[in-house]
Amino acid sequence: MIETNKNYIRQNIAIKRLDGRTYKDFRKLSVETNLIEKAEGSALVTLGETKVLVGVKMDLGTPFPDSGDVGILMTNAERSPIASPEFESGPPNDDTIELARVVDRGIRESGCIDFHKLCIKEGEKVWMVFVDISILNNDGNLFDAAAAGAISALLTAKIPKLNDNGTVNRSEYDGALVVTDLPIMVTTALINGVMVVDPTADEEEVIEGRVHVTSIEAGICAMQKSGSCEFTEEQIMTAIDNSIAMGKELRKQLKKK
Amino acid sequence: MAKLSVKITKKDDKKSVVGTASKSKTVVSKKTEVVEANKAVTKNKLNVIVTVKENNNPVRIVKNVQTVKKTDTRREVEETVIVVPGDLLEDNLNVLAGLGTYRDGSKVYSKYTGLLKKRDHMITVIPLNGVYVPKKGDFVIGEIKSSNFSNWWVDIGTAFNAKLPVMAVPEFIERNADLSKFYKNGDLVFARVDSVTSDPVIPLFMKDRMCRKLYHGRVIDIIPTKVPRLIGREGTMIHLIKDSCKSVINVGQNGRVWVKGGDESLAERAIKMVEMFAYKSGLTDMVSDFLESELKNNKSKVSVSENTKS
Amino acid sequence: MSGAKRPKEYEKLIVKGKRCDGRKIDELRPLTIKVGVIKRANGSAYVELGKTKVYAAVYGPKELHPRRLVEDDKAVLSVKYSMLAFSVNDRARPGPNRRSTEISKVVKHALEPVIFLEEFPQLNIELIVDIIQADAGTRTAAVIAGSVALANAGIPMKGLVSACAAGKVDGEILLDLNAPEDNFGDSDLPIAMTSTDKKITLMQLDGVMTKAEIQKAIILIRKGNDYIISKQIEALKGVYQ
Repeated sequence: MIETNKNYIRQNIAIKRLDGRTYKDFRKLSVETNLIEKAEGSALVTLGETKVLVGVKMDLGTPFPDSGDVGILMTNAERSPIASPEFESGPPNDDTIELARVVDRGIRESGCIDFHKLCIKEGEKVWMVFVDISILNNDGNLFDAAAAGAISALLTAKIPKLNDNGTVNRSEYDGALVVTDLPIMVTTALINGVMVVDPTADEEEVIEGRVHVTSIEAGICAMQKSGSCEFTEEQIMTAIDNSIAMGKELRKQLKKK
Repeated sequence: MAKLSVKITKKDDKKSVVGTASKSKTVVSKKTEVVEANKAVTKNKLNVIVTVKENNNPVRIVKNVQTVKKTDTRREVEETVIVVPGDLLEDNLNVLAGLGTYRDGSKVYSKYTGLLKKRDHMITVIPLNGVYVPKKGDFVIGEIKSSNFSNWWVDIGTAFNAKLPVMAVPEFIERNADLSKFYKNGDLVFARVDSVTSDPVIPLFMKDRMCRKLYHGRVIDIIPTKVPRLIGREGTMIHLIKDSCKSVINVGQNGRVWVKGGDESLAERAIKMVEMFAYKSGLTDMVSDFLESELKNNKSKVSVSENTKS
Repeated sequence: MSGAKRPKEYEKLIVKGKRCDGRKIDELRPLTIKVGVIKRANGSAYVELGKTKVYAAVYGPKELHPRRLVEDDKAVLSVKYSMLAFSVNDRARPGPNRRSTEISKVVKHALEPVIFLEEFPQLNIELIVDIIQADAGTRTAAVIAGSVALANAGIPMKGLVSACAAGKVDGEILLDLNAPEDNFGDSDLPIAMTSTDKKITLMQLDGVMTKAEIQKAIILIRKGNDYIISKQIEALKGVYQ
């Protein structure tokens, strides 16, 4: 980004952002679910111009040796070059892996999926839930969009039926993937001393660091500080407050689906 | 055929009817039936010639609808035709296949998604999207990326950086001087394209009254092919935006627009509006109306740029 | 292909001239084309061909890396076709494989001939196609979307390129095979054609067909491509209404 523009964003961030928002405003969030029939669950999230598509696939697998009676959740992210000239094709880099793991932590630690219910035969067969995050257009705040997409896709996901011979029948369903809470991630970024919510791609060029906070109704279930910068305790508390406040709002919106 | 709103005043009893007139029969009011409607442009006056039937007698009324600016008149008369690559534009050996078209035998096709322009015996297509293609003399807005002994390297939005030789700037620079003292990395300049050759590295020069460093402000990117529309005929569009927003604005042919001061946010919205509707006619009026209504609404709000440190 | 064992519901793929999804033998699946859907890109398109759904984006002309791939006298078109993990019945491991590599190549060769590459020497035009749901015909959808994305990006082209497939299923030549027809039919012939002079720029054959059957298929494909081109043009112009 042109240095002049970077300076402009930094200098004005406390008063106004390029798109007219204040530091506490989220862009318009819309979610479309069940658009990929072949997937067990799917959601297309549009946050401003950021577009993230999340698909849920379920498959049979063997449980981990130390937890024979629980199903498995695997979250993967792909930042395809379709979404931005900065994204390179190839195996996920550390940014992409961080995105997948932070979204995963928010879902896993919230307890919203009862993994015991995904056990078919203890020690032998369990359901594996694959959450695949695909970025289609990068205009910033991929973490929150991906997290909203993941939980929306899981909320509307259906468990395939098991045939008598033990194979998966994807044309018939055996109920919904039970999701009892809605973990919502809210990212607050640090720009020139100001804690700013929902940064655009332009703003992400000047952020010093980020705090990702995932909240559920009972409290906070996951957090991540990202970026090579220092945060004061007050700034961390601002990020937590943002997640609680905006989490409530977003949870209401997503529950309506 | 475009429809016009016409006010028809009957001389005798000062009655006036307002309605739309087009080539097809249109009933304007119960008593007055429009038989024929034509528009003609003479100099800068737009006349409407309406033949009206009253009591079964055709009465011809010539009405001067409005004195319009040259820019709008031309736009009103020209039809906007959008073409895509492969559209057959003409099958005629006597027609010149201009920019944006290609010839195959007697057929002339469009190369781009763009606006079709037919003038005299030449057909051109103006692309509605695309990267910047430098031309000699273009004013461009660039950012200094680096320098060596004799050149600065400038990013002007082309695949390869342009070069600004030490000899091409107005300042006098001694041998072995530290170039960053004059233009350092990150500085923004308003420069001109010196020449265009097969070498992908474009040389720039700044020995021109208009060329200078640009301090602070911000740069807005628009599609380069829309820059002429943003400037407008004889600068009408850009002056409209500058005056309404009270901003300093420099437009680079490379699609970069530098804005400083005044209501920068409103200027950006106006610029983006021109970019989005560049293909439409009557755009100057649309932007003018938009700026007017926005300024009315904002009268009570404090101009934010006055509070920002520059 | 034809050796695959059919599940009960696909025992008969054509009943009284009607296919398993209700179409006639020369009917295309419902086609939707949208333009300018990925704002970050120079040009983009979204295509739905029946249940097959694809996004395409074009970046460039821009600098080409690595430098050893640079061509002095023209631009290089690079195409990357990928299927997203959840786009198929059994989750696909993300990342390129032999199939996606081959399809990227044939899609590149389908589109290159119509691009004025010589106008951008040493540069790169990058086309990325992501298949978000696959139900047969993904490479034809990729060509349809790629062609529109290139035109939307302002790349100079001789014309557009459209593509569709025909194949032999249960003794009949059908246009635009869906997944069951592709899986249990006898052959699949995707063909891409230019809009201006109907020249063929992509052609692959899977399965057995006689020369006469191939000719019959090409007649169906021509009609299909004519319709597709009209939809592509409509989508490109639609931005400016």
